[in-house]
Amino acid sequence: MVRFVLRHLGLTLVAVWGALSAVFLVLHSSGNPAVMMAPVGADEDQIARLSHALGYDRPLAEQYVSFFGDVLRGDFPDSLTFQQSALHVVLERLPATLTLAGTALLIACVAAAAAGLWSGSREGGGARREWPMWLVFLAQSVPGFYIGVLLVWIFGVQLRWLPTSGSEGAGALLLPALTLACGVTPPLARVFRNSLRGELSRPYTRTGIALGMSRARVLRHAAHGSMLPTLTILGLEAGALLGGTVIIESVFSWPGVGQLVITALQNEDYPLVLADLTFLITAFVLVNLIVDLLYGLLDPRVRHASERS
Amino acid sequence: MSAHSRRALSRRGFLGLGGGALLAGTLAGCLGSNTSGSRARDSRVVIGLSAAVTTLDPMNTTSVGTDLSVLSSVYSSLVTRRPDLSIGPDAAASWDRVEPTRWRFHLDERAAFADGTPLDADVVLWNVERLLDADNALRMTSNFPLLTGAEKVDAGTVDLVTSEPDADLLGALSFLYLLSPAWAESHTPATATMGSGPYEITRYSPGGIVELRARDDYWGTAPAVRHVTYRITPSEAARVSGLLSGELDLVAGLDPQDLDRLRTDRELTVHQLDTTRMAFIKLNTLTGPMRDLRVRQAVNHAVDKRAITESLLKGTVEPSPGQLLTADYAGYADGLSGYPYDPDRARELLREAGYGDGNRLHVELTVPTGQYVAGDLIVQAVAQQLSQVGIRADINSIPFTVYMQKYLVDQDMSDMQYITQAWPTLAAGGLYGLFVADSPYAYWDDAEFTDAVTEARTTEDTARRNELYATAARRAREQAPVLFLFPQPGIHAAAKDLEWRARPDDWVRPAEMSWKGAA
Repeated sequence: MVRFVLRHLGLTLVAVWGALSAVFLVLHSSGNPAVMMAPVGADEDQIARLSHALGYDRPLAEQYVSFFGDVLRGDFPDSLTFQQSALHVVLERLPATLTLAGTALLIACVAAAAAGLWSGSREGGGARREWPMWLVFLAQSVPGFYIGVLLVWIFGVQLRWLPTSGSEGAGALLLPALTLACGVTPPLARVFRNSLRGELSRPYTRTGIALGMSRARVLRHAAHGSMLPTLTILGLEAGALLGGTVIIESVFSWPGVGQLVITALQNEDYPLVLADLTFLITAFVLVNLIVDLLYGLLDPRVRHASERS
Repeated sequence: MSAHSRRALSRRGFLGLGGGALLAGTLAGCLGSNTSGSRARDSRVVIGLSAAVTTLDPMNTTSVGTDLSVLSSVYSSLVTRRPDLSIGPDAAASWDRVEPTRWRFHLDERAAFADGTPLDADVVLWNVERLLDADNALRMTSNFPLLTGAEKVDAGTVDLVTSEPDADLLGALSFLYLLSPAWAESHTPATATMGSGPYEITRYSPGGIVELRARDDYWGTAPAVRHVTYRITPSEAARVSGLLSGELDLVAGLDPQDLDRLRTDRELTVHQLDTTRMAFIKLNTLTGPMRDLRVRQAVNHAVDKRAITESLLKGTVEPSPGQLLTADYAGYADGLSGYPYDPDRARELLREAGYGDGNRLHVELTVPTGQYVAGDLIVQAVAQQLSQVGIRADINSIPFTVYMQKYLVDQDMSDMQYITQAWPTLAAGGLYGLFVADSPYAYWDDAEFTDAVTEARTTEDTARRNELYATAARRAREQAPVLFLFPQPGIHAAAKDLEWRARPDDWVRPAEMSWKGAA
């Protein structure tokens, strides 16, 4: 188990380093941020001075080595626009994103479980059984930013029940979290429904029913058996959820790391882009690591296989 | 498994939980909502900003619409630009030009920082030193190319010295907000404030909310609005919804596409005016087909500017009369007219230049993605109209950094590029300076224009100076280093009862606002 975790952590570091290197090279070959920072009318000398003061006149290899040296020391270079440690700026935004992503994930799990249970456990067919899946299908077909704008228009502008944007109070959390959940729920619900149906047609279910188990009890066993494939999808979707925050946070002016990375890119704030992505990439890889670990907990076969190897 | 978790697995339980969360959130939202009416009673204003206030150091930002507008409420400058664009007093009660290169400022005796220390000559000296010290690499510094230093005359009087006569100095000084030297020793100006302006910051999270409160001990005229909340709403849709739902009292810099929706809302007043930013398509007169004057004039005749302002910009602005400046600039010359829309004349000029059916003119037209109001749409309309006279314009849409790198550093501008330019101090010499031969912005080597502008910049006599700028304007009209378009529209919307005069120069100052009927 320990070796399993260590190997995954090692891979996590390699993945973060690889992704950051790619972003670093693409960013730095696309232009010099000093050109953007200098006010209109600045001549070549002024741009060159600013470029020198910020260290962007050094060879790319030297900038690369010094950047990763700083990062390894835990000392991210200062953000160009915020003029303070880029890591500090990202960490300040972190709670907002975690709250949003966590709430969205919770909504998605609840909605997916409800839809999956309804459609997966019913006999027969037709609309009465499938309507939750139709809803889910609809949610997946419409882009998140559009759902967001639609929800804002209905609940914010027309009904004025909820704030249209911002992060003040629980009401402000609801619309962005719902919107974000719309993208994550469908695959979860579908996989859960299908595996539930699969489990319900397996011999142990029939045996249980034959032995006179209550319907709820049979369902519980079947649901437990359906967890593994659902969890795999959950791991993948958690990544998509982080990606989704980039768009949804911008739509709802939610002050998290997703909105920050857009602002940073627009301002050519390279240190901030890199610090922000370091967080997003690490979070993505870590979530997948946690899912891998949960596998072991949920399915003894996985645990034993990894212990034997 | 506990009884509790068994319940949680039941279908009804799940649905109940979801419904409960929805209800709770809805109720919380209802309690949190607010209307402009109640804010008027509290003398409170909520302003939506398009971008985060990234730094609180007023010398390290040039973003007028966001950072500087907020900081201008907290700090004082020597002089200030008033809503009618004239220069008025702030920390300096009066000033005079004692020599061509020496300006004398008499400080307001009452001027003091929030901690009680007076704003005196030593404060100005320290701030000018901070500004001019190249090691500080402050972004405001390049607005002061001719300033060489400050000298103390007495405690309340200070001289600013320039290397050459500088007609632009007062305009630039309205951007120079003064820090307290003693305070700056022990604090970081990027993340904290202590100013001598009408407001103080009571809450600041970079990128999140900024809140201001009017200072009771402010030495100047007390502002009518006592509390200000800035909400950062980067998406245009969020700004518009915020206005329509009454959450935001004021948003500056809206998209023309949203005008119809905003105009029909009875709770809002829409302000529209020309900004001081001119939009045009810059032509590379140094290489390629645009070296030929006839081609430059042909493209000017080929484009129906009015059709674009009427449709894409909803009639918010008028086409430019063949000018690089908008009418708000000091040195603007009246009496010019734009190139009339005349496709036949354009075709004729192209034929004279040797282009026609067998030899079609093929140009590249570059636009930075998402950078300028309706930029992508405008460029498409222009390309379409150019094709009507037989010019094939390939649109090249690239990120702003790459665009600036090619334009300024690599000196590799394409044949045509869409750009908007403004000069923050509203001096003709400043914006025209981007077109003089040795400027990396120019791509135009014209001796007559360059000489007129260079002479005007150091000419003391206003009449003579304006005459030189008029010469420059006529020359630019005739030589067409750009495809003249129109000023960028400034579209602002505010709660109906909020008294505020929209400004063409992007400043949004709470001290210039008040609620109708409020005491």
